Amino acid sequence: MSTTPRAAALDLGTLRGEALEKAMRAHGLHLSADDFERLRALVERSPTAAELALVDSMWSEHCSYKSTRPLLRRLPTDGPHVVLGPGADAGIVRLPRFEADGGWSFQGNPHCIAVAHESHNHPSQLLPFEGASTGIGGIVRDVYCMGADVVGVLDALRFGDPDGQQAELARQIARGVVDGVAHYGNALGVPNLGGEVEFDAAFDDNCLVNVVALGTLDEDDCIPSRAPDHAGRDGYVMILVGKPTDDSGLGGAAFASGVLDTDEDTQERGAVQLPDPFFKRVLTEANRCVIAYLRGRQHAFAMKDLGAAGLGGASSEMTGELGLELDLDAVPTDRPDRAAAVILVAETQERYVWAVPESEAEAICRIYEHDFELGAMVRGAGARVVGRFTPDGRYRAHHHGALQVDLATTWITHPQEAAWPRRARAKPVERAAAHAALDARDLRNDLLTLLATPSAASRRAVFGHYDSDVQGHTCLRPGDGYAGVVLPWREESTAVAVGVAGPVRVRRGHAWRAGAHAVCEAVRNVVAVGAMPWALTDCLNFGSPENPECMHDIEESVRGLADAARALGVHGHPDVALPFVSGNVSLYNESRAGRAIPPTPIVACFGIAADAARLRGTTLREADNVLLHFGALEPALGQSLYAQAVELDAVFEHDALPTLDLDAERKRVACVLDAFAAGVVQACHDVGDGGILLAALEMCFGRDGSRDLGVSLQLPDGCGLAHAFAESPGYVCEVRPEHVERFESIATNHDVHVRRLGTVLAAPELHVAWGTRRAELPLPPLSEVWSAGLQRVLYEEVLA
Amino acid sequence: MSRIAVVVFPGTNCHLETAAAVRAAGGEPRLVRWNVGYAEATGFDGYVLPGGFAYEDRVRAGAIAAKHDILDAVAEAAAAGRPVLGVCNGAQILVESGLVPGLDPGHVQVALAPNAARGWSGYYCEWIHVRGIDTPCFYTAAEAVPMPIGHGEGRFTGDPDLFGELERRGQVALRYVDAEGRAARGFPVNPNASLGDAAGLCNAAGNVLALMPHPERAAWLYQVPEGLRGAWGQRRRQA
Repeated sequence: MSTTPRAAALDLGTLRGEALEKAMRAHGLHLSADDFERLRALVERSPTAAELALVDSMWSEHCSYKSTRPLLRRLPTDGPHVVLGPGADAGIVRLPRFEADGGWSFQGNPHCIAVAHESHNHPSQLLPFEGASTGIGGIVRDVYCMGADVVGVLDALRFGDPDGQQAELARQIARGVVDGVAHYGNALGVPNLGGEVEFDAAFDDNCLVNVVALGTLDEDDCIPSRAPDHAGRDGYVMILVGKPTDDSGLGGAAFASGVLDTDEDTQERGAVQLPDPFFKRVLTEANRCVIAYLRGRQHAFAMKDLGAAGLGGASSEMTGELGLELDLDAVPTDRPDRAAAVILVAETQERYVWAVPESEAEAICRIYEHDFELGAMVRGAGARVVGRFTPDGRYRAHHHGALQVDLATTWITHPQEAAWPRRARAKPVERAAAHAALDARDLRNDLLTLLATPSAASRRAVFGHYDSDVQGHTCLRPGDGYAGVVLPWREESTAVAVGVAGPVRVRRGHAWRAGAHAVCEAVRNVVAVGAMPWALTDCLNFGSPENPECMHDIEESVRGLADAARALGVHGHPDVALPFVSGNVSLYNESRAGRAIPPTPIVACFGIAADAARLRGTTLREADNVLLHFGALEPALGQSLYAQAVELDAVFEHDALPTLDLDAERKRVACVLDAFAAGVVQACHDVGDGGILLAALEMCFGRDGSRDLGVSLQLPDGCGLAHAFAESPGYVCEVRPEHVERFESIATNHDVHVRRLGTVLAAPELHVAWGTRRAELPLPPLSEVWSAGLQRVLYEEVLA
Repeated sequence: MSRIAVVVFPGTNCHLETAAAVRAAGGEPRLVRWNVGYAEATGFDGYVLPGGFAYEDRVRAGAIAAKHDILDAVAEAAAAGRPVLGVCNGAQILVESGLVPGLDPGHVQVALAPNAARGWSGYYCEWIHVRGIDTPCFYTAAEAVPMPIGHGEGRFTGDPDLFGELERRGQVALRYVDAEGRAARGFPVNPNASLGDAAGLCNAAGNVLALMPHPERAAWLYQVPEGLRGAWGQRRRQA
């Protein structure tokens, strides 16, 4: 086949440097002049249009992590329970094997979870509905293609200020993203387990849409994404299945690696893909049958989803170090005149490739086309043999009788790291000034303001759009707690909890803290429902790595992530760091004006519990129970949601930040987990935004603000409202009076100081006593503003 | 053991948990793909049409699936008095097929229109309570029973006179009520502004039920939200 004539080179004359880059941009290529020269040197000729399109996507930051790869090596990624770490479409972790005596071991449980974490920030800013929707569509494919069932999704969202300078845009994007997440997940039939919805002016120009998928599978059923080593010798073919290739999402990967420019937005909308959850549902059922068929035939096979860089990306990665003869004429397209470059890199959604023995190809195509009638679901959809594996390490694509791509496979998939030397420069760290005294403030007014703030208000207005019950295994749903919990193995009591968290209001120069905070908060979310943190994923959302200060932030945040994951570790195994098993990097989150988002590393934590019946949400259970608090109590309101909400600007900017002590954090985690194991926790809320006061109020409100219990809080001597609103990490636990002593002794074992914060009241009231002051407030007016806060900014017209 | 067909259309997404609930209730579930042909689809002791988005809700939710020949096998079972349950999208299919309420066989008599509650717009996922007595339906609930809804088009509506007739015949089998079993007074107890607070309608004989809430998501105590009001929320908190 290699005697086919080579397609003509893309005519770029003898241009160099910026002129060359400008000419390439006219062809829709974002490649740097350096990368162009590197490619030309590798092939020893002028590259073709298809080669350039492929390399443009595959060497982009989005696909290659070229500026962050060396940094990411600093994260702990391994552990005795890690089956597959970063690098694959999803990470895979074995569950612990629980013993009857309450102990557990790393080995011996066949069950695994498959987890993936990605961002769809740039597309969602331009086309919020499609961007968010295909975000869910892409992340579930990453997990499905490991051979897993997807049992839950979560999203971490950051929107602009809905009452700020670009209020209408912020609201429009938030509504569109929520609709997109709901549209895809609901129709696909994957429960949404919650996540984060945060608002801040820092995200006015760049919303963040991070998506996380959780899947389950048994270790033996894991499907590789690389073709078997013998595929080249044993006549393996590549089957492409799914929608016909069109020009949607053209250059999506390269687009996600550039800065958003409003003038070019219209053009770049074409780079956003189109979602089709209905088709994905049918495809998922068909895939299940194909997998069962291939397992029955006992063949080695591989499967991979098509994501960034479309067919070219998936096929080259599947080929690995083998060769592939790819026949682009065999690829079903929406129109007959699609160019080779388009067929190769368009990011048309809802497609997979398989590596299977040629003898099975017909049976597999029949399952898709006959049993599941793919062609009747979407015109032109189907399953076709599009390529043949070879042992020669050469990736060749043919189209219309010409050789369009002729590259060593590894050139495509292994670009050189850091195309230009990335320099990091530290930002000046802003020091904190004195603490604020708040005791003259009106608690009732401040609470009404805080609770109505979109970032503090009830998330029901968003979560109610998501189907969180489909599949029937949801045990704690969004709003019940800060981690979602599922019972994916119907006959077993093992539960999987997942929480996702990251910083919102980051003080300049505190990027390490942002990373450490993200890990600690995600871990707290999982621990607060009673599950043992087991693995992590991350997505690094930053501005341009070409900006040295930003590069420094990335380095510092990664160091923060690594430090926290090592410090917290696996419960009872201080030598085993919590492993990051999957992740993603989203850079260039800045407007053309150079306004970058604050460092936003977002972390998902996956936790395991032997017995779901022992888990607890945040809802208070019974009057007269005792509220225990542990964690620092300090008047540190710097960057706090409270100071921002009530507009104490100087306090917000200059007050001290809460203590972040990783060693203390680890001890508290151990204390909570042991207390759950002893069965002495009735409800638990971690302390974060809004401090212990907001934590206690949310425990009263429950999922919809309609509960009829209250709390009476007595702040310890010397503590005032600043302590109560400070976001110093910790936990508030509801404990039966007869269990307090037991709880305290568990805490003492872990060197944790527990204080009695108050009691549960039989009436919906908030009592707070501090120093010589005391406030008694009825809860209904508070729960009313809390319930309506987000509804007000997102869906005003419904309330009207 | 009763052999129960769980019918899977393109876009159905609740078939696995529905099959699990059928099994837990003592039945023997069998997933039946839409295009297996009459011979494989007929002869079951009962049929469940599970939730999802059959044919992408094209035209109207349930409209295309209702015209599929597999519905012949379902109609046959319905006529023979065997139980047929349509949940959510399955309820939409039963209504579009004319099997519910079925007073004028073969004709669509009621509709499941887009939710129109004041206080919520669009798709809505929430736990509600239903209750149903004085009905010929095979499923009744003397006490308020919690179940989740998850739909954008779940508002039973139609000719008010016809609805009056259905109410007299007990064909409004299950109604939205509050956690204590009292009648709804609008949102949020009636989550979608359904006429007559109807959560489920049955045929005259009571063997075919079109139910918008999802009983298969409320078959085990762990599925009940901790913060839910009423006796079942309390039971979950004490578990």
